[in-house]
Amino acid sequence: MITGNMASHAPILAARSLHKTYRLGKVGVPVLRGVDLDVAPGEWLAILGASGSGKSTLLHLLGGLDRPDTPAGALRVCRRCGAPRRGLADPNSLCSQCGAPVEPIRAPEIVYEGRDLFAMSGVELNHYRARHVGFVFQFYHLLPELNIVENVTIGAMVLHGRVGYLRHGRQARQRAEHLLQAFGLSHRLRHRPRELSGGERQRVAIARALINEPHILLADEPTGNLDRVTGHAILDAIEHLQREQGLTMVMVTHDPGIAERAQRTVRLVDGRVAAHVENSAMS
Amino acid sequence: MYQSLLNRRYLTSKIMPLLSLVAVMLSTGTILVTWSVMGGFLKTLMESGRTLIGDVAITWPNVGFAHYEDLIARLEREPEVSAAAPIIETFGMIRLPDDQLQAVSIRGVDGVSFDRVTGYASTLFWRPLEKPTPKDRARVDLRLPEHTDPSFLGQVLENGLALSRDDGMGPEPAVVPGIELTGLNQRQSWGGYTPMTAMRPTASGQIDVKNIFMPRNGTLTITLLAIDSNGRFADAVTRRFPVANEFQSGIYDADSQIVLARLDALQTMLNMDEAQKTEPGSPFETVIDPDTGEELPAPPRVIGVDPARVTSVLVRAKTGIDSWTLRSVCSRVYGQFASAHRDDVPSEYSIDIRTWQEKNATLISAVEKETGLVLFIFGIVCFTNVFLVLSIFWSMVSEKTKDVGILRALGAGQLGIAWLWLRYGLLIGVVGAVLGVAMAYVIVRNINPIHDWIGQTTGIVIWDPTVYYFIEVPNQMNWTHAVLVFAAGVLTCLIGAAIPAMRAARMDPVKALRFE
Ligand SMILES: Nc1ncnc2c1ncn2[C@@H]1O[C@H](COP(=O)(O)OP(=O)(O)O)[C@@H](O)[C@H]1O
Ligand SMILES: [Mg+2]
Repeated sequence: MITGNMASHAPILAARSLHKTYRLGKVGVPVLRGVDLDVAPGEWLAILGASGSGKSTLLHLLGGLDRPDTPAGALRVCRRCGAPRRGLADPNSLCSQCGAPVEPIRAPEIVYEGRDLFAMSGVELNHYRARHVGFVFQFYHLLPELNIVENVTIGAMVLHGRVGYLRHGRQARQRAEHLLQAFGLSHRLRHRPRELSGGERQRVAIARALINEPHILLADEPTGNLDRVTGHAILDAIEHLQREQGLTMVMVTHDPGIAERAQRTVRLVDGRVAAHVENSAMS
Repeated sequence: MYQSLLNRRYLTSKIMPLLSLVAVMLSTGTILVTWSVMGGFLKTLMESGRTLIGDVAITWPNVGFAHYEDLIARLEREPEVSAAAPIIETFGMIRLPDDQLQAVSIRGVDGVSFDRVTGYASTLFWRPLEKPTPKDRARVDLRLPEHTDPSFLGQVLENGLALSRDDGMGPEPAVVPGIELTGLNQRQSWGGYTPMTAMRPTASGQIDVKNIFMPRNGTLTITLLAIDSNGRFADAVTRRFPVANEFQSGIYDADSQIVLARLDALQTMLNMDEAQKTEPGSPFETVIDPDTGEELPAPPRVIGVDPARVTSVLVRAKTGIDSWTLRSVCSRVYGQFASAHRDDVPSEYSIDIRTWQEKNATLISAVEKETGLVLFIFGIVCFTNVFLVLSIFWSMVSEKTKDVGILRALGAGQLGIAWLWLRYGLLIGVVGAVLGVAMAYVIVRNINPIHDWIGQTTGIVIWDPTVYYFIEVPNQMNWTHAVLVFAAGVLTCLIGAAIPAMRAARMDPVKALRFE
């Protein structure tokens, strides 16, 4: 179904020159140092990286939750050693600490279906998160006061608002129940998240991410908190969705065994996307 | 949309919001109770002020003024005037059946016209209870038919209105003292009175017990200073009056210090009745006594009639006419009256025409000051409330940081998050203030039983009638005040929630998601 050659497709999501530096006291900690990434429509991409390599940071950027360093507002630190840097980026200067050439920072870019996220207004960005991408987190992040159906439909409530939900509410509830049924949770609809097992909670979280029929699922170690068998059952469900509905999936993980299940794996090393690995086994 | 769902769930599954709800409820409730009682106090004061003196009083003190009947007739022709009545106000001493002496304020009134101006008839305490409620029966009210013959009480009521009593020798002018005045009526916790026996210590060291029910066989002896035709106090006059009935105005000062007497009797005592106007005879003229043949100095010559006088005319306005309008009407009418009786009555420039508000000015301003104080405390409580809600919301927002991150990841905007918390504050404010108003309503409506219960169980009497003027604690809820307190309660919650809401809205969603 999906060919090995992705280059022929225009990417649904393309990231260019993503830098992100966290400030720890006076020191800047560079986490992402110029990530470039293309995601083809309908593919399942795994981003493999060690713990603390910046996978979550990258995913938050792709989902429009966070902003990368901008050239003007960038922390003035050496991208290599983190030493404070003087003046604006001069392409010819060297870092005073480690002597490395100071890289000029290009404007970061995340392009979703031809539109630059950083050119969007706040409202458009909210709409992007609500409508076009769905987040799945390692720790499920369900709302503890809501029951299972409400936890799923709340995504639709956020998208449509009060007036719109009058029109879409019925449909959203039906879709929520349908999704939960597909995940084998139809007998748990009125339960609270704390009454569910980890695997069940993660399936609720996936249902929530899918309620508005997004194009891209951004999964942050979706199986990281689950045992092996449960984890693979979750991946089976994801794989099924991706195959049946042509959902694009970006999954980050530190576990090569999990990454293996994706069609394509890239590695995040030293704040950059290091290697492209085709997981031919899947196609 | 998601805001209302989450608000509902937050409200029912957490203890913190319930605490703030209770805080709002208690503060709005207590403020409203205090304000209602204070406001009711002012209102009762105003209404009772009218009960005793009507809306406007036209007064020429001590000596009084004549031709008042003409003045009343002129006043009652005006469309703004509902009724007018003559009255004499003076001071005197009374002797009670137990020989106690007491200084009192004495008012001479004509029962029927006084009733039209002040609603006097409804203040008469001794009357048959026509349709007793079960509550009245439980109270063992002596006015019930099973305790006292209703036809006797009916006669007593009539006596009170006419200010006369017939003890078998024809109707005699009588007096109606305030119910607290003689000290012989014991106030019951339900607000009524039961008569007690009068006990008089005798010179031999014995106690003489007299079984007296004032309206049946009680008398009061009144001593006052008569005034001569020039307005100077002359001799003291003393007269014994039967008691016709007793009145309960609800104002403690009035009920314990005022004795109403029949106008004509008081006029006679004070030399204010109609009399022959005389002139001393010439010192050179003499007359011969036909019996003895003696030559005597000539007696004073009668040169006309000195008409009866009163010290005041009380005027009541028609409904919807305020007392200030009425006062200007009275001034105009008095002007016409004064020119019709030039040199016989005080001029329109010297006569004293005042509204009841002016007469009670010191008291009213005192109560208004007290209401101001309540409002000041109200302000402080609101201010405290803001900080209370602020701190509770601050900690709730902190606790719910992760939810904020999740909602932002689902696409919620900053405004949506701010509205989530503002709406929550609004909800708590509205629910808390509704409960507070409801609580205040229940307390205010039942304040007298509650007050009695506190008095009985703890012995603390908060509302002492001798201090607070009125016998009952006002138990009316002012709905304007209720609306204001409600609005203030809701507003304080909104203000208190605003800063935490802003903080939640400005949270970095990524940090919120990573929050543990
Ligand atoms: N708000 C922050 N302030 C400072 N350092 C942070 C912050 N968030 C993340 N980091 C650091 O950035 C690095 C990358 O974090 P993260 O993207 O969560 O990595 P991963 O998901 O790959 O484990 C980690 O070393 C982490 O400690
Ligand atoms: Mg992570």
